[in-house]
Amino acid sequence: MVPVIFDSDYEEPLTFADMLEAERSDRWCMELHECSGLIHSLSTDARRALCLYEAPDAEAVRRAVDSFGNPSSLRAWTAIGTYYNGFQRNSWPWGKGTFAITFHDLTTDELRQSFERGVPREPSGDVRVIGDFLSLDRQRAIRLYETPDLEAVRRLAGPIARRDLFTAVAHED
Amino acid sequence: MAMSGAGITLRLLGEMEVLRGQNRVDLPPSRKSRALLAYLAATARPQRRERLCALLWDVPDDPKGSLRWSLSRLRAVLDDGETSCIVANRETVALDTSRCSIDLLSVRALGGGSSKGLEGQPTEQLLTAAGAFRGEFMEGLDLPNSHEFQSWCLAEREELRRLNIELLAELRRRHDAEPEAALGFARRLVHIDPFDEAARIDLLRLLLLTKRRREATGQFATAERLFQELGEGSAERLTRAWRLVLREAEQAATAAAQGADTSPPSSPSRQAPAQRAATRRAAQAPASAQSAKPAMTATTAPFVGRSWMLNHLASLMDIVATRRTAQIVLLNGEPGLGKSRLLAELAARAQAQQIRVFVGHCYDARSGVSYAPWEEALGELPPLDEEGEADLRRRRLFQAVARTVTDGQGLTLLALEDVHWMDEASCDLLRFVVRTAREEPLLVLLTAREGEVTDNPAIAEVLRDFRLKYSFEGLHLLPLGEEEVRQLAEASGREDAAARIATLSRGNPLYAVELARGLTDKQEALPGSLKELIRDRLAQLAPEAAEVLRWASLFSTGACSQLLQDLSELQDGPYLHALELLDRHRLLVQEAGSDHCTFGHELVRQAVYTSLSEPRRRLMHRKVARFMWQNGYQPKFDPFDIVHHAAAGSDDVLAAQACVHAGQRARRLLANAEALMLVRRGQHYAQALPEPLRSERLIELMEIELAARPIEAGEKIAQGLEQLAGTALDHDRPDLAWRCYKMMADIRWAQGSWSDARMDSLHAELISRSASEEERVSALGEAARCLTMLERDLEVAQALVLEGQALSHRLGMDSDAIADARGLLAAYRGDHEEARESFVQARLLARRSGHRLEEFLALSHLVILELEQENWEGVSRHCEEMSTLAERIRPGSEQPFAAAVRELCRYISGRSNSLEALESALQALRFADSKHHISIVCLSAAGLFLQRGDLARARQLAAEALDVAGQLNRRRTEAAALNLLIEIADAAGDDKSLWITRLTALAPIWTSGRPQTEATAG
Repeated sequence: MVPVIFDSDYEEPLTFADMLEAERSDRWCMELHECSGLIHSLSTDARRALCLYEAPDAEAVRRAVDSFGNPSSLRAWTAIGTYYNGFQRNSWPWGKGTFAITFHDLTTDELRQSFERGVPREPSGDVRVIGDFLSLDRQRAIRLYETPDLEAVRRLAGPIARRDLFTAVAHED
Repeated sequence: MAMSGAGITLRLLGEMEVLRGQNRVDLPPSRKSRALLAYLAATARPQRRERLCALLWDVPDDPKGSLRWSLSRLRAVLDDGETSCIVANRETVALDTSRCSIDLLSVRALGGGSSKGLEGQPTEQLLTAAGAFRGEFMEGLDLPNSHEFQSWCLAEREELRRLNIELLAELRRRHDAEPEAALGFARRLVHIDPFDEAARIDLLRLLLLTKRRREATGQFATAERLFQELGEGSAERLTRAWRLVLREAEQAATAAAQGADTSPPSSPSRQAPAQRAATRRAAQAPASAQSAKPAMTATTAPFVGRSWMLNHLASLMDIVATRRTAQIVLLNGEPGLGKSRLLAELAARAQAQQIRVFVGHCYDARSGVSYAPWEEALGELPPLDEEGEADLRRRRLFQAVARTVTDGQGLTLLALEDVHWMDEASCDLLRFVVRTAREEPLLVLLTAREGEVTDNPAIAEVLRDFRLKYSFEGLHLLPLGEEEVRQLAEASGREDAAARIATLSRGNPLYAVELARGLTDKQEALPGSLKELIRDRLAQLAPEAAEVLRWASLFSTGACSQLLQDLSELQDGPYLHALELLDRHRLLVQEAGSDHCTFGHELVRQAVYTSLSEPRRRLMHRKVARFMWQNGYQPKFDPFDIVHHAAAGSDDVLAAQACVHAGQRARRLLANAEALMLVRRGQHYAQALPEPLRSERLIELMEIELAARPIEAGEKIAQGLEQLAGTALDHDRPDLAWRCYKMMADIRWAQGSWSDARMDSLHAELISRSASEEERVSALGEAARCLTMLERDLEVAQALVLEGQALSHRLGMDSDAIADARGLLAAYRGDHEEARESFVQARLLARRSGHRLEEFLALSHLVILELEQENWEGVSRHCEEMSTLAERIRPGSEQPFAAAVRELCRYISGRSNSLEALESALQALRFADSKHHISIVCLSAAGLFLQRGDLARARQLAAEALDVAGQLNRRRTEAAALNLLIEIADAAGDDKSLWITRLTALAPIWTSGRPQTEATAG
């Protein structure tokens, strides 16, 4: 199993309730494709959803999640996860707190290096970085935080577009 | 009615008889042989051999051989050395009715059998014809397991009963002016159809007219009870009619008294002795009026004439105990000769010597209940394992029984009675126990009726086996000698009639005992048969006792006392009184310490049973079946019993339902032969039911059939299921249709891993989310496609496709998802042509709907099929289209896959020598992380490089294909990759054992119509 990020854009603002309801209604399809939800997140402008799954491959998520919703665009990509601050992949769920995600386009080496340098490996206030999830082609990544305060993440991450900053919740069955 | 003389006379109206001149000829003991003779005689035309086999011998073991055997037995009876009544050639068999006289045909010839035809016939002829009816057609000869024959027989009985009624009604009409004569016909009419209100009233009127008031009152009381069973106001109507008849009689009597007739009215005291006897019989005489002398029956009579055989069996027990090897004894004999008594004496002697004894009985009516005699012998069967393969569980059950029977210590006596009725599962178990206990001190004593073993192929085979392989002895019980019968007569105080009893009984101890008993009470002429004797005794019983006895006669294995009381609807006092009387006469005996009541002998039960008219019998059976059904399955109510009673009661609804339950029970006990027999029976009863009940029962029976045997005629069964599904949908029962589709899927994909519950749950979820039928078709199609693309649970996918297809056909719509899924299933089955057609259709449908992703999917499936077939021309034809289409779809794996396939085509066609382009496309595909596509491309590329001799690259790619396919559990692709690695190893001269081992370890999968677990290379 590998971590897979599903990234979708919508013309109309979404709510968490919408997102979770859509996923629940196709539970059998997710199960069929052996996709397990981990994190669900919504951008601060509410027009972008970003979900972290565990699945056999990205295609499984494309097939399963393709079955619902009507996004204007979507991408699914497999990531390589790196975990910090005592978090481990096998210790999911990672606490009961709230989470945040920042999305990073890494289209140049410079951006890539800046991203890798900028990882806070110690907790900063109430913010702790759980891990980074880098695409196989190293063109994009997300960073997952555990934090009660989205603004603190914004300050930590530096300048970031509204659509690249997400409030996240853990998946619930 | 039959012509007497030197020729053959065949009597079918009553118990079957064959006479040569005036002498009765012994019929073959085999009931099927008798049934064959009756069928040929009644139909009076040549019958095809296949037809006769299907009618009477529908089991797989050599039915034509059984037919030939029966014909040889019949020839022995009918032929006189010069002429033969049986006319047979390779195709047909017939009875030459010109060479024999048949009562049935003579009766039918009267006016074509219609009442109009009878009107013109002379009275003498009608009287002769009526006299030919000694009982119902083929009385006592039923073959419940040959249901087609049984249906025919019941129909014939009904038709002849009607004819008999018409005859008697015509004769009654002609004797209207002679009340005494008319009374005889009226009695017979009521006996034949006790529920005919008009006939009842006529009888009552005639009884009153002939001054038999007490008898009339008794008749009314009996009729009232009977009609209350009918319900629907019948009893009330009868009562009103009776009052009217009484009033008429009183008015007539008053008029007569006021008229010229001065002679005193006939009173009971002035009646002729015969009339007084009749009146006495009709009266509700208290039990004490009957003889108080305890009856002697075969079980309490002195044990005469069999001591030497008992001693022989006892000595066999000693030999077995000493030698410590198993011995089998088969005791043959006609009914009533004393087999049961002999067995009981031996068992008593064994028990007195502290020898372990197991006794079980087989019954005709329970010949479909698996392991019934074993259950009786052991008390209960050892529990069956819940888990594990069926064969293994069955074996464990057999081993447990064998261990119970032989404890490895001292001698054991295992006695099984009437094995000619033993069910197939019990036969298998018997064979197993004997084989296991070969070197144990086990004496197996089996009893059977002479000649009836051949009607049961299962036990016949077991006995053949025993004769060949084990220490086996066959014993025959012969009739008693005159001196021995005299001893029986003396024991009953009838030494004066000993000679007569000996002659009449012909050495049959049961008949001798009953005859002696009968002679004690009767002053009239001796009855011609045991049956008549029993019926005479029945007529003398108090009405309550007779009623209880009649109800008890429905149960060949006996019945519990409470059940008999419930059925006879008697209060405690009269019921207990009746039981006491019956016990005293040893007609119905309650076993010590239990409430189970049984007849003294099966022949006695049969005599009582056949004394019931057909309509009455049917009604009683129906009542029993419904009572059992409503009271649920207690330990004493077996679902098979309900089948028996419902069928005998012509309650097809209940019979079919009970066959389902009984079949399920047989399956749980792993008695597949019995389960299949019940399926056949159930299917027969279900045919008469209205829809959708008929379809529902047939589907349930089909589920049992599929579980009970491997799929031999899969396609034929699937067609039948498809029809049933269509009927179910027609009657708005999609739930039934779904069950059909599941079974059809199971036939095709026998290794399904989904449980029924999970399948049903998925199906229910799909249906619940569909607001309309069109949405349902889409949902079914999408789910089917999902499963087929994942290459798993193909039987579920198949079921969904079938249902989706049927629905879409009805709606006049098409679904690209269903077509796509159908194509994938065909590809997995190895039907490439169908797969191609379906993918093309799916693509077309998706394009029409504007579903680009679905169009790409269908096209990619087609391309993958061509890649697997190494049809590069086909691949080339489609890969450019695929690339174009992929560009119009959202980013995913489509573009990289199309690009990779395009590079493969270019490489193979020589348009590109660059491996870099191919590698680059493959890397993009890896980044997109669609492992299935990666494995397909790697596999195809590996095959290419192998052909071109680049073994290193081929091996690397094949290994990657194997790795990713393994991550996805795509066993088909794994197997293909392993085959390729074996080929590469062969070409390189490398060790391939690792790949072969892995390939063999894969569970068998079906690809291209054959399992891929065998290495296809080297």
